[in-house]
Amino acid sequence: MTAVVVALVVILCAVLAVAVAWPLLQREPEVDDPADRDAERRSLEDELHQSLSAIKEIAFDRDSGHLSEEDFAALDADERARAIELMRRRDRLASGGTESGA
Amino acid sequence: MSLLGRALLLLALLCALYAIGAALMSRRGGRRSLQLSAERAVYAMCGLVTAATLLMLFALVTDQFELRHVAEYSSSTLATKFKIGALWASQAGSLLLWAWIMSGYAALAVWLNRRRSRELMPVVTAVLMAIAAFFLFMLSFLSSPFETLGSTPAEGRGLNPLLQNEYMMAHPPLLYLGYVGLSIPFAFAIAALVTRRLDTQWIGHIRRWTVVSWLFLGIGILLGSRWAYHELGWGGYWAWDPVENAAFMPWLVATAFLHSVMVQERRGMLKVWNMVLVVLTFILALFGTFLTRSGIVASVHAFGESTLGPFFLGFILVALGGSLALLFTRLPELRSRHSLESYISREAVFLYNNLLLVGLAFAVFWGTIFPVITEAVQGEKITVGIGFYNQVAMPIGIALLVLTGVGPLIPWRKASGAQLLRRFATAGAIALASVPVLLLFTDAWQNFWAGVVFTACVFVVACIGGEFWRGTKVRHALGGVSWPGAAVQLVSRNRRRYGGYIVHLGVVLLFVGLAGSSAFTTQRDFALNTGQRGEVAGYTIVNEGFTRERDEHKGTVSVALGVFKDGERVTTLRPARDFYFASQQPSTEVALDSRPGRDLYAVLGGLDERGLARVSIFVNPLVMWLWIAGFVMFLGGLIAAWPGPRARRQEQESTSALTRAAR
Repeated sequence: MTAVVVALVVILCAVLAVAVAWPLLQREPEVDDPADRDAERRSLEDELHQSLSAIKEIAFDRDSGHLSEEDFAALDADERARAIELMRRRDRLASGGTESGA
Repeated sequence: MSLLGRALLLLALLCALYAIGAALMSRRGGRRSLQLSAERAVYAMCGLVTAATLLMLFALVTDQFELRHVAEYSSSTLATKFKIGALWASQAGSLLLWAWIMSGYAALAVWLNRRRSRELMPVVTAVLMAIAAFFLFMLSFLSSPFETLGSTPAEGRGLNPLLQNEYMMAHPPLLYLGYVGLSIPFAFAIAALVTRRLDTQWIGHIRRWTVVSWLFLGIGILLGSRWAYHELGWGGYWAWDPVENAAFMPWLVATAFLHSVMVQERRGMLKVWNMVLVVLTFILALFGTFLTRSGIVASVHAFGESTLGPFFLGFILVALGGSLALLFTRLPELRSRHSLESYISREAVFLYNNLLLVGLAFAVFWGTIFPVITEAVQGEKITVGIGFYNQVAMPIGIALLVLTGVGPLIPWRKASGAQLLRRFATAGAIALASVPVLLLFTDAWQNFWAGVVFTACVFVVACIGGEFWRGTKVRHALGGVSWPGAAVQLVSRNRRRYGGYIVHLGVVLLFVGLAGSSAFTTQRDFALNTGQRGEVAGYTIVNEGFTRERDEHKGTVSVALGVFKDGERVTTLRPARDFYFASQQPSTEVALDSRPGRDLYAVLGGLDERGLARVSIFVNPLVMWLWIAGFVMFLGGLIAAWPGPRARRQEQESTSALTRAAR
């Protein structure tokens, strides 16, 4: 019984070692890997989506009487500036430029 | 079986250690292949821990008494569901459950982010694997569930009778799902600090994780209370026990974070505070685990003496010291975009809410560790009584209750007097009008503080109801949708906000239950022979005889208590006492008649040969609302955490909305 377990564990070790090391045996992705850019684009899209939801929410707050016109203008301008900045960063990324963070 | 189990856990530990190294090395020179390899190691670790857990479950279900854990916490006569529950009955078994949940969460977090957050993920992976490695180290070298006995006993000792309860099947796993889930926000916070990506991106990643963990922890705590209510037989559900407190503290701080994170998202403020809250929540979750396992506090929920305490304490100190040092070095980059413009604004209310929640967590922390401190300093353990906790928690609780109504109605930035009057006139008037109604038609007049809580509850419901009404009106005014459709759209299009309001309604119900059951409980003890009767809170209790039963697992004595009101039979309660043969332990089975207005709760203290029954009867008003509150809070939390439309649709939507915004 013990021998069977030991054999099983050895086989398991070998399978795991190959599975975990497999990416290292492949060619290293290029520095300017499209997958990296895609990941960055997704992160920006997530942030952008949050920002656009916030713009809608601010408008909803104004419509339901939670914000005065003055406060609405200030908050809305703030959030729109953030959304436009994110949009610019995304466009830069799409046109092949590098994204250097916030 | 023991050999295989130990090998699986050891291999899992090796995978976790490899993942830490590979993930951190991948940051040097951007070696993506190393991070991919680290991710695979995380999945492998998850698979191995899952296999070890399934192996232990198999051992429990098939009575493999050569394993110490199975022999000491199970028996062949135990029902299969309780054999499964025996997994988390011991120190080692519950550590295995911790590690299993941790491995599952880590694999899920890595998988969900495999195509995003490339900068954060190596650090997130390393932090999660460091936590997993700590638990796997203990499982491999200090407290193994696969430890064997010198000789195999013919029968196991059985599970503690207190744990042979349906709620114990769900309470620990849910609590652990909450505790362990808090590791994910912590890992993202550390990753944001290390990589200096301190914008709102990391917040977006952890919000849903935090809500889900908070939800599991909250429901776990509530189910634990329900277990205590049904099983411990003292008539209550919360005793400020150190281990109960240990779960309550991270829940309080996580609640604070879920509110203050909105201030960071909307106003770019409280960035340092939010980091502190995320770190503190995780540290308190670890502290809770430490309390349960170190043996430093005596509790019905703790595992007793063990050698794990110093290891846990060391891990907590490393995690706390490392996080704070990292936070300190990043302080200049965590400056707020705005400052507080008014003390009467949404952001100020969130701040007050945070101070109250963290203040309450601190008070609970102090009360919990006070006996440990006094023992260390004076050599004598001085325990803090329930009175201390109630005195602190009651005013803070009432203030928090009022803020759940006030917060959503106060505008961001600042509020004028006219705005406040407009916002709160209706809710205030309804609350005032409720006072005479409460005094005339309920028992609120008997207890001032309960009256205050009930009035505050009416105020909060009016505030939240007003919010739903105003939102529905705006949605309906946009056209093309009926009133019910507008209400549904309102919630579905802003799940986070309105899910949160539903949670607030749950909080109101919770306070109704708390106030009712703590201020108006009646208890009486009787010694009744068959046919004798006693009176309690307007109910007549009649001893209608006893029965004795036994099966292969346990012997049971029970007494039938007829309950009458105004001559009419209300119900028959059958409190019982069991004696479990395998563990040689007695247990009390509470009898309960639960209704929205009150619970009738009977405990059998003893029954002599001639049928003289010693019973305690409790009339606990409004307890049912605590459990209903749990359901409402769960529903609201689920709505708030439910994912939005599919990612692709989101992207299309954001692209078109962006174009509109740019115009």
